[in-house]
Amino acid sequence: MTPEIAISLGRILAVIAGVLSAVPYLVFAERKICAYIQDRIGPNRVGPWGLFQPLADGLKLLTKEEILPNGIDRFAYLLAPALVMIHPLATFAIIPFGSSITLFGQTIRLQIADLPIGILFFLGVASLSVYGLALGGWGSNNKYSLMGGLRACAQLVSYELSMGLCLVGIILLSGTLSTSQIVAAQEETLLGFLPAWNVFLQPAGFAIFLICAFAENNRLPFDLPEAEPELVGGYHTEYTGLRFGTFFLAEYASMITMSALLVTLYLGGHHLPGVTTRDFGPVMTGLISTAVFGAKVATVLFTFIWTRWTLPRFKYQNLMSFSWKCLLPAALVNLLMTATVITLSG
Amino acid sequence: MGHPFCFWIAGTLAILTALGVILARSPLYSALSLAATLLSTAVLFISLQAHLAGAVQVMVYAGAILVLIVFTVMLLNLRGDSGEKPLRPAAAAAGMVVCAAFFLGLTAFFAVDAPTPPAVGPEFGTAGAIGRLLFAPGSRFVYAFELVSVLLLAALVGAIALGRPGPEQGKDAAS
Repeated sequence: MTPEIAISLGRILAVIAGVLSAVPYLVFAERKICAYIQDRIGPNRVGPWGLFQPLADGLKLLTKEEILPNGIDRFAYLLAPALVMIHPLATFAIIPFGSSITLFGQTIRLQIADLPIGILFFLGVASLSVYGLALGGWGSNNKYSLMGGLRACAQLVSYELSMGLCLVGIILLSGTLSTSQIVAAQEETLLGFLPAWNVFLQPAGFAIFLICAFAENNRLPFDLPEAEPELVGGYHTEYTGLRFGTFFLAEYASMITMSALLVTLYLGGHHLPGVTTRDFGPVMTGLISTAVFGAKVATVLFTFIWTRWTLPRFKYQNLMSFSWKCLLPAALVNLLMTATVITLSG
Repeated sequence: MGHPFCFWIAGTLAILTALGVILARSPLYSALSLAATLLSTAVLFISLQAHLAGAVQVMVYAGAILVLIVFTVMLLNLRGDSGEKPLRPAAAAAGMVVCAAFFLGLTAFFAVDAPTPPAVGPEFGTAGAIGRLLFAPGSRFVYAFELVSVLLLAALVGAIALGRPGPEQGKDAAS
């Protein structure tokens, strides 16, 4: 095996293991944070401070009975949980989660694939995420599942548009589609003290992107596809055991991926202003940049959880009109202004 | 650079799933096979360095148009049980003969008169190169491109005008 293939495989395994093992602790963090927001204590029985709770939850899902309901479309029903995992894991391929690290005489870039069309890859994979939800909802032979699946698809399609328009603003600013170069473009400083992160250059774009990210992940206040009072559980109503677990895992994994993308595009990726230009040696530089990236992602994830337990749910028709009548025009104006400023300043 | 390994896997998948499109009995599985075909073709595009074409193929065809088809199939509840005809052996045999003849013809054509593709530069197929081709000052394609976008806009407006409920139905919908 050539070293290149070994390095690639190593990076892929590291990313998949990292994302999937972060999910249980994200769920734990969500339960703890929501408990504190609601003035409760949260899980604290299993292990010290309840730290083994995610393990117990996973075991519970594993040992539950798998039920195949009557009248399902077997192929679609079984395929859907696998399809929903594609989006969160494949998108991570283009995210630079650190600068580079030198191990055994090999310099390893901490990114699986630096594609020349990185951003378009993300949009392409995101546009495929509809299939898993639609098939799961339709294959279950349950009207609530179908309604949930349809809502999820309509929501994804609507919010993807505004998200894409925000991305165009970033592409105009940095003049590239590659995510690693977008991160590199954010290394400089503005006015001598402010890091040149896109969040300062594109504040409106950042706000729209963040709202779309909530909606894309079906998080409250946009969790209409699985709104329990209306739809029992949405597209995964009829799923049990590990198949339900896969939907659950995909939801939290895509939260992590979306936060990582937000950090890459708007919050300077793995750079810490004033520190990352210094060299800490071949190994430490890679570790520090990855730690910085992880800390930023954790901050964004905290915002996701915080929002969920603070805001109430939208009405469905408001959700759609908000996307088409507020976010889309706002994203267009943002894009127009960005293009104008870039053209005028040459 | 395209790896032969990539080509063989994606090419085989494209052919198998294309067969699935015409052989599947359920319209939904046909549509899903078509999605898989489009994805494998996108991989072929990317392995031939046409990154942008591959990405656009995924976004526009697999991600938007096929989703629409899948939606239609799902909402009309076309399960494929209704009006199912048994496969006629004579028709299948005739189809296979035509396919074989066509395949042999193509092979013979390329074996005798194989056109050597012109070498392409490293810029070929990148988003930047295509953008310059379309929009650079003095480009041959800029007016054609803009006209196509106006045409698409007209189609969009037309679809909305046709799909809107008329004044009578509009009252019903509002009440």
